[in-house]
Amino acid sequence: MSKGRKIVLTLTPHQSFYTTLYNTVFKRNSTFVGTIFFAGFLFQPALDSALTAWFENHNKGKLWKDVKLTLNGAAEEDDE
Amino acid sequence: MVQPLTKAIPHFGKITLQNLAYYAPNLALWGGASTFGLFIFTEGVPVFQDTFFKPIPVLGQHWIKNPDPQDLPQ
Repeated sequence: MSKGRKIVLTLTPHQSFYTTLYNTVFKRNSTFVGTIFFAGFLFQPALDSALTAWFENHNKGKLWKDVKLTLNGAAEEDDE
Repeated sequence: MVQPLTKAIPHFGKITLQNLAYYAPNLALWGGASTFGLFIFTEGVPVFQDTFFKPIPVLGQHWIKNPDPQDLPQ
Protein backbone atom coordinates (compact mmCIF):
# COMPACT_ATOMS: atom_id res chain seq x y z
CA MET A 1 0.00 0.00 0.00
CA SER A 2 1.44 3.30 -1.03
CA LYS A 3 0.56 6.41 0.90
CA GLY A 4 2.43 8.97 -1.15
CA ARG A 5 5.92 9.23 -2.48
CA LYS A 6 8.87 7.65 -0.76
CA ILE A 7 11.50 10.19 0.19
CA VAL A 8 15.08 8.99 0.17
CA LEU A 9 17.69 11.10 1.91
CA THR A 10 21.34 10.53 1.20
CA LEU A 11 24.31 12.10 2.93
CA THR A 12 26.02 12.71 -0.41
CA PRO A 13 23.19 14.14 -2.49
CA HIS A 14 24.81 14.39 -5.91
CA GLN A 15 28.35 13.81 -7.03
CA SER A 16 29.49 15.80 -10.01
CA PHE A 17 31.31 14.06 -12.86
CA TYR A 18 34.57 15.67 -11.78
CA THR A 19 34.19 14.43 -8.20
CA THR A 20 33.67 10.89 -9.47
CA LEU A 21 36.62 11.26 -11.84
CA TYR A 22 38.80 12.56 -9.01
CA ASN A 23 37.79 9.77 -6.64
CA THR A 24 38.26 6.97 -9.15
CA VAL A 25 41.33 8.13 -11.05
CA PHE A 26 43.36 10.89 -9.44
CA LYS A 27 42.96 10.31 -5.70
CA ARG A 28 45.31 7.34 -5.42
CA ASN A 29 48.62 7.24 -7.25
CA SER A 30 48.05 3.54 -8.05
CA THR A 31 44.82 4.26 -9.96
CA PHE A 32 46.39 7.30 -11.65
CA VAL A 33 49.42 5.35 -12.90
CA GLY A 34 47.20 2.40 -13.78
CA THR A 35 44.91 4.61 -15.88
CA ILE A 36 47.91 6.05 -17.72
CA PHE A 37 49.28 2.57 -18.50
CA PHE A 38 45.82 1.34 -19.56
CA ALA A 39 45.39 4.35 -21.86
CA GLY A 40 48.87 3.75 -23.27
CA PHE A 41 48.02 0.11 -23.94
CA LEU A 42 44.83 1.14 -25.80
CA PHE A 43 46.67 3.89 -27.67
CA GLN A 44 49.13 1.52 -29.38
CA PRO A 45 46.60 -0.47 -31.50
CA ALA A 46 44.47 2.67 -31.98
CA LEU A 47 47.39 4.64 -33.48
CA ASP A 48 48.48 1.63 -35.54
CA SER A 49 44.99 1.10 -37.00
CA ALA A 50 44.45 4.81 -37.64
CA LEU A 51 47.78 5.30 -39.45
CA THR A 52 47.37 2.08 -41.47
CA ALA A 53 43.87 3.15 -42.54
CA TRP A 54 45.16 6.59 -43.55
CA PHE A 55 48.14 5.14 -45.47
CA GLU A 56 46.03 2.58 -47.34
CA ASN A 57 43.44 5.22 -48.21
CA HIS A 58 46.16 7.65 -49.34
CA ASN A 59 47.80 5.00 -51.59
CA LYS A 60 44.60 3.39 -52.86
CA GLY A 61 45.18 1.66 -56.20
CA LYS A 62 48.94 1.41 -55.72
CA LEU A 63 48.95 -1.25 -53.03
CA TRP A 64 49.59 -4.91 -53.74
CA LYS A 65 46.10 -5.88 -52.60
CA ASP A 66 44.67 -3.54 -55.28
CA VAL A 67 47.19 -4.41 -58.02
CA LYS A 68 46.65 -8.15 -57.47
CA LEU A 69 43.01 -7.83 -58.54
CA THR A 70 43.98 -6.24 -61.91
CA LEU A 71 46.39 -9.06 -62.94
CA ASN A 72 43.66 -11.67 -63.74
CA GLY A 73 45.95 -14.68 -63.58
CA ALA A 74 48.69 -13.11 -65.74
CA ALA A 75 51.27 -14.11 -63.12
CA GLU A 76 50.66 -17.82 -63.80
CA GLU A 77 51.42 -17.41 -67.53
CA ASP A 78 54.74 -15.69 -66.83
CA ASP A 79 56.23 -18.86 -65.40
CA GLU A 80 57.46 -20.25 -68.74
CA MET B 1 55.78 -0.98 39.93
CA VAL B 2 54.04 -3.64 37.89
CA GLN B 3 55.66 -4.47 34.57
CA PRO B 4 53.13 -4.66 31.71
CA LEU B 5 52.87 -8.04 30.00
CA THR B 6 54.11 -7.79 26.42
CA LYS B 7 53.74 -10.37 23.68
CA ALA B 8 55.04 -10.33 20.10
CA ILE B 9 52.36 -10.72 17.44
CA PRO B 10 53.28 -12.73 14.30
CA HIS B 11 55.42 -10.59 12.03
CA PHE B 12 57.80 -10.76 9.09
CA GLY B 13 60.34 -8.02 9.61
CA LYS B 14 58.17 -4.97 10.21
CA ILE B 15 55.20 -6.47 8.35
CA THR B 16 52.37 -7.77 10.51
CA LEU B 17 49.00 -9.20 9.47
CA GLN B 18 47.36 -5.96 10.60
CA ASN B 19 49.36 -3.55 8.46
CA LEU B 20 49.42 -6.05 5.57
CA ALA B 21 45.61 -6.01 5.60
CA TYR B 22 45.75 -2.21 5.67
CA TYR B 23 48.04 -2.09 2.62
CA ALA B 24 46.33 -4.92 0.67
CA PRO B 25 43.85 -2.81 -1.37
CA ASN B 26 46.58 -0.41 -2.46
CA LEU B 27 48.95 -3.27 -3.28
CA ALA B 28 46.20 -4.90 -5.38
CA LEU B 29 45.70 -1.65 -7.31
CA TRP B 30 49.47 -1.40 -7.89
CA GLY B 31 49.36 -4.98 -9.14
CA GLY B 32 46.73 -4.04 -11.72
CA ALA B 33 48.65 -0.91 -12.72
CA SER B 34 51.91 -2.84 -13.21
CA THR B 35 50.03 -5.49 -15.25
CA PHE B 36 48.93 -2.78 -17.70
CA GLY B 37 52.49 -1.45 -17.65
CA LEU B 38 53.75 -4.89 -18.69
CA PHE B 39 51.02 -5.09 -21.36
CA ILE B 40 52.36 -1.90 -22.97
CA PHE B 41 55.87 -3.28 -23.39
CA THR B 42 54.84 -6.83 -24.39
CA GLU B 43 52.33 -5.67 -27.00
CA GLY B 44 54.60 -6.74 -29.87
CA VAL B 45 55.66 -10.15 -28.47
CA PRO B 46 53.92 -13.04 -30.33
CA VAL B 47 53.54 -15.28 -27.24
CA PHE B 48 51.84 -12.47 -25.31
CA GLN B 49 49.69 -11.60 -28.32
CA ASP B 50 48.46 -15.21 -28.61
CA THR B 51 47.82 -15.77 -24.90
CA PHE B 52 46.57 -12.37 -23.70
CA PHE B 53 45.74 -9.89 -26.46
CA LYS B 54 43.99 -11.92 -29.20
CA PRO B 55 41.23 -13.21 -26.85
CA ILE B 56 40.23 -9.62 -25.90
CA PRO B 57 36.67 -9.19 -27.33
CA VAL B 58 36.80 -6.23 -29.74
CA LEU B 59 40.33 -4.92 -29.37
CA GLY B 60 41.80 -8.40 -29.97
CA GLN B 61 40.97 -8.20 -33.70
CA HIS B 62 43.93 -5.85 -34.09
CA TRP B 63 46.43 -8.68 -33.48
CA ILE B 64 44.60 -11.27 -35.61
CA LYS B 65 46.09 -11.22 -39.12
CA ASN B 66 44.56 -13.26 -41.96
CA PRO B 67 46.77 -12.74 -45.04
CA ASP B 68 45.83 -14.30 -48.40
CA PRO B 69 47.57 -17.74 -48.55
CA GLN B 70 48.87 -16.78 -52.02
CA ASP B 71 50.84 -13.90 -50.51
CA LEU B 72 52.68 -16.00 -47.95
CA PRO B 73 56.27 -17.08 -48.76
CA GLN B 74 56.49 -20.71 -49.83
